[in-house]
Amino acid sequence: MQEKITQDMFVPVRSDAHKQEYIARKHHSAFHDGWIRLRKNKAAVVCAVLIVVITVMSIIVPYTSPYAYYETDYKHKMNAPSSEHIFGTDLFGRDQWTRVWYGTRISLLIGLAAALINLVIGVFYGAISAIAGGKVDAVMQRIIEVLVGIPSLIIVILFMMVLPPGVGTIVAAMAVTGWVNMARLVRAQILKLKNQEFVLAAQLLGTSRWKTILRHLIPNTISVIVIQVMFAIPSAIFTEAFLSFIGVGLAEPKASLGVLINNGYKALRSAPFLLIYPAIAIVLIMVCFSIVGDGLRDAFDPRMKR
Amino acid sequence: MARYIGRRLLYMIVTLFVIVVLTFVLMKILPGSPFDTERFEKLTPEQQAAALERYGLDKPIPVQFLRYLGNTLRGDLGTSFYYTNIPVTRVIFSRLGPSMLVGAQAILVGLAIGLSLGIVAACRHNGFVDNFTMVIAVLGISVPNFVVAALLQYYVGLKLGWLPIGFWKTWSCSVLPSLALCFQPLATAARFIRTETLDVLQQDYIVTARSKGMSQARLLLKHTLRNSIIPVITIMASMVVNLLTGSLAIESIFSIPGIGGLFTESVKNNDYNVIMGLTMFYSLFYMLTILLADVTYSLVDPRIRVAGEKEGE
Amino acid sequence: MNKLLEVRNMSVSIHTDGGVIQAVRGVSFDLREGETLAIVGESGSGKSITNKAIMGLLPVGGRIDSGEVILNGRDIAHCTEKQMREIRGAEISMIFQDPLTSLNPTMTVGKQISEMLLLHKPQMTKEQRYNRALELLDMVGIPNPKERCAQYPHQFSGGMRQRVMISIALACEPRILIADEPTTALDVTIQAQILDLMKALQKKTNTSIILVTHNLGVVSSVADRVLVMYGGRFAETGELDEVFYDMKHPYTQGLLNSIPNLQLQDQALYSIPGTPPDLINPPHGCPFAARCEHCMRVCQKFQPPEFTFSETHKASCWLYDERAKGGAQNG
Repeated sequence: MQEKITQDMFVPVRSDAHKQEYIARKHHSAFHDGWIRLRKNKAAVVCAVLIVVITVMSIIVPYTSPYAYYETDYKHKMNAPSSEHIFGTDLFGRDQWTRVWYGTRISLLIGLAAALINLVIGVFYGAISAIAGGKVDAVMQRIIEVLVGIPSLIIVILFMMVLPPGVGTIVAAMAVTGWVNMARLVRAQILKLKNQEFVLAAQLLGTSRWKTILRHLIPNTISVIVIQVMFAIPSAIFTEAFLSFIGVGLAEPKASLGVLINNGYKALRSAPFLLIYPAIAIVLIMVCFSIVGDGLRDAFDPRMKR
Repeated sequence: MARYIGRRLLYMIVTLFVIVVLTFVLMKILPGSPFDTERFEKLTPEQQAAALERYGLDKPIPVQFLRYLGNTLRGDLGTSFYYTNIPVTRVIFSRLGPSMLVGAQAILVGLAIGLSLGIVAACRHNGFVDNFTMVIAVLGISVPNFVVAALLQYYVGLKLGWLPIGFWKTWSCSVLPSLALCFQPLATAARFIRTETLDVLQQDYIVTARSKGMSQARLLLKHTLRNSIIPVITIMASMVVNLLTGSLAIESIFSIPGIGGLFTESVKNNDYNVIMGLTMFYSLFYMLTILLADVTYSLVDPRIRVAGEKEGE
Repeated sequence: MNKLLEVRNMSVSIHTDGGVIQAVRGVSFDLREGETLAIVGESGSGKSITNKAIMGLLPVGGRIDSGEVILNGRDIAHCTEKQMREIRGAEISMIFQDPLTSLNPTMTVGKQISEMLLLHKPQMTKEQRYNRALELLDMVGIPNPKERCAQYPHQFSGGMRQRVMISIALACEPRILIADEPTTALDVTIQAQILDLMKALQKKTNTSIILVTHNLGVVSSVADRVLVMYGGRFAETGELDEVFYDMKHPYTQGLLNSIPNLQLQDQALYSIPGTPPDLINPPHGCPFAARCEHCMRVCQKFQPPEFTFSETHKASCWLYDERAKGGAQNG
C-alpha cells in the first residue's frame, strides 16, 4: 500500500447514507438477465443467426434462380450436382437447388403457421381457463383431459386423407390437437403467477383486474410461450415431413422438405444426392430451432436458473 | 388409488368415444368407396351395390354409426374390406408381433445407451462426455427417423450388405429398423436423465449424504440415481407413442409386416374398418401406457401419493 | 480445556460466472472440547462457507486458498478426499438449515440412519445397526421408532425431520457437530425444542458444537463463545457474556441493538443502515466501514488489526487504536 497510516486519518468521517445503500453489483431486470445469459450461449446465437440466414435464403433463392421449382427438363434428368445445377436435378429434370430452397420455404411456412395457430388457440384457451377459474376452468380442463388421450399423429393422418392436399390442410390438421400442450402450459403458468405475491401486491395497490392481466400476467407468461413456440415450429416441420414421406402430405409439383425427402428416398439407389441435400436442410433447421429453444429456456425460464 | 384409476378409466372411455365419432365422421367424408380400388375393378355396379348392402353401407349414416358403436362395445370391430371377411381384430393381431419386436428392441437399446450417456454426462458436467451427449441428444431429436432409416437401409443394408433388408424372415431383419427407431428414445432418455441428475446433484440431501463421508460410487448409486431415475417413467409413455408413430414410416421402408405398415396400407385402400380399428387400438394403447406410467410413478416414488387430486405439481 | 479443532488463517474463494467471491478472508479460531461455539453474522458473511470448508464440502468452484484446519494434530484442509471421507460423519458431523430438503426423499428414515453406521462401523451387523437406529430415534425423542424407521421423510413434520437429522449426525458419536442454522426453517416453539434437545445431548455425549446462526436469541440460549463474522472476517470474538454485555465492535453493537425489545413497545425497530459488502471486490479497509457510524478515514483504507480486551475477548476495529483518542464509545 502506498499510503501510511497517519494520525489525521483517525478522525470520524461523515457517513454518506446514499453510499451505504449502494449495491456494488449492477441490478438487472429479469429480462435483461435472460438476454445476457442468451448472448453468452454461443451455440444458440450461431443457430439463431443460421435460422435468419436460412429463412432469407429460402425467400430469395427461388426468385433469383434461373429455374423455377416446377420447371421440368427431361433432357437433364437426375444429373449429379454441377456448376449449372448446384444440387443436381431430380427425376423430372427439375433444379434441386431451387427446389430445396423452395421446400425449405414451404416447410418453414408450415412450421410457423402451425406454431402460431397453436399459440393463438392455446393461449386463449389456457388464459381463459386460468383467469375464469371455477366451473369454467373445470369444464375446460375436462375437455383437455379428453383430448390429451388422442394420439395426435393418427388423427392428423386421418384429416389429411379427408381434406384436399395443401399447405392449409396440413396446418389445419396439425391445429386440431396441437394447441393442447400450449393451453396447459399457459394455464399452469398463469395459475402459478396468480398466486404470487407481486400480483396480489398489484391488486392490493388498487390495480384493476385487466391492468393486472396486461401488466403482470402477460409479460410473465410470454417467456414460457416463446419457448414453447420455439419447440412447436420444428415439431410441425417434422410432422409435415413425416406426412409427406408416407404420402399424405403435399402433392407435386409443390415441394416441401418432406416431399423432397420422399422423392429422394425413391431415387436413393441411383441418385443418393437427391435425398442427402433436403435431409441436411431439414436436420439443420431442426437442430437450429431446438438449440435456440433450449438456449431461450435456459436463459429465461427461472426454474432453470442456477 | 382405486378412485383415481377409476376416474382415469372414465376419461379414457370418453376419449375413445370422441375418437370413434371423429374417425367415423371422417371415414364418411372420405372420397371413394372401399370397392372402387383396383382390386375390385371387376365388380359390376350391381355387385358393388350388393357388397355395400352386405356391409350395411347403404343405411343412413346415423344407423351405420349406432350399429358400429354397438358392435364395438361387443368387441366386434367388423371385417376388413380389403382382406375380405377377415375380422379387423384378427388382422390387427396378426400384424402385432413384428411391430412389438422392433419397438421393444428400439426402446431397450435406446434407454440403455441413453441413460448411461446421460448419467455420465451429468457426473462429468461440461466435460467431453457431456458435450458429446448433448450433440447426440440434439441430433437424435432433430434427425427424422425415416431419414435415418433410409440412410441405414442404403448404406448398411445395400452398399455394405451387412444386414438383410427388404424382407422379414429372421431376427437379423429387425436389427436395422430397431436401430433406426432407437435414436429418438436414446436422445430423449439421455437429455432427460442428464437434466434430472444435474438437478438432484444440487439438492441439499446430496450435501447431507456427502457429509456422511460416503464414497463417490455410493453417493451416485444410492442417493443420486435413485432420485433421478424415477422420473424417467414419466417420459416412457411419450417414448412408446413416438415409436408407434415412428414405425408407420419405418415399417414401410423396411417392408415389415407390422401394424404401422397396415395403417399406411389401409389408408391407401380406404379400408374403413381397419383404419378405425387401428385408430382405436393406437388410442387405447396410448392411454393405457400413460395411465400405467402415472400409476407406476406414484407407486415407485414415495413422495407422490395419488389421492385422486392433482398433487406434487 | 483441550483444543479439538484449530482453524489457522483460513481463506476460501468461490469461483463463479460473475467473478471470484472471496467468501472467507483469513479467519482463525479454535474449538474446545464440550463447548458450543456460535458463529453469528448476516447472510453472505461467510459463516456457512467457513464450516463447509472445514468439512471439505465446498460448493462447485469453491476452494481453500490458504490456511490450515487442524484436527487431532492433522491438517485436514489438505488431506485426500478418501481421508476426508473417514472424518466426515465419524469425527465431524453436520446438520443443515432445511430439514425438508436435507433428507433423501426416496430412502426410509431408518436406512438413512443406519447408512451412517454402515459407512463408519463396518463391524456392526445389520441387526445391530437397526437396533442402534431405533435407539437413536428414541434418543432424539421420536415416538414409535419401530414404525417411524420404515417411513419416508415426507411423513415427518419439520421438527421431527430435524430430530432425524440430529440422530443421523450423532449416530457415530462424532466429537464435533456443525449445526448450520439448525432452527431457522422451524416454527419458534419447535426451535426451542430442538435447541433443548441439542443441549441435552451435548451434556450426555460431550460433543463440541459449532452453531452457525444469524439468530441472536439462539446464540444467547446455547452458546459458550461467540464469533461475530462480517464480510468474510471476524469482527469480534469472545465469551458469550463479553460479546453480549461488553461488545466492542460497532457491528456487534448494531446487531444487538436490532433485537426487538419487548419492554420498550413504542420504540422503532433499529436496523443497521446499508447492505453487506460485495465479496467479489472486497473493500481494502474494514468491511464494515461503509455502514459504520464511527467510520474514520483509516477504516476505509486499512484493515484493522485485532485488539485484545481479555484473554478471550478480541475485536478488529480501529476505534481501539491509541491514535483514535477517546473515540471508543460503547453503545
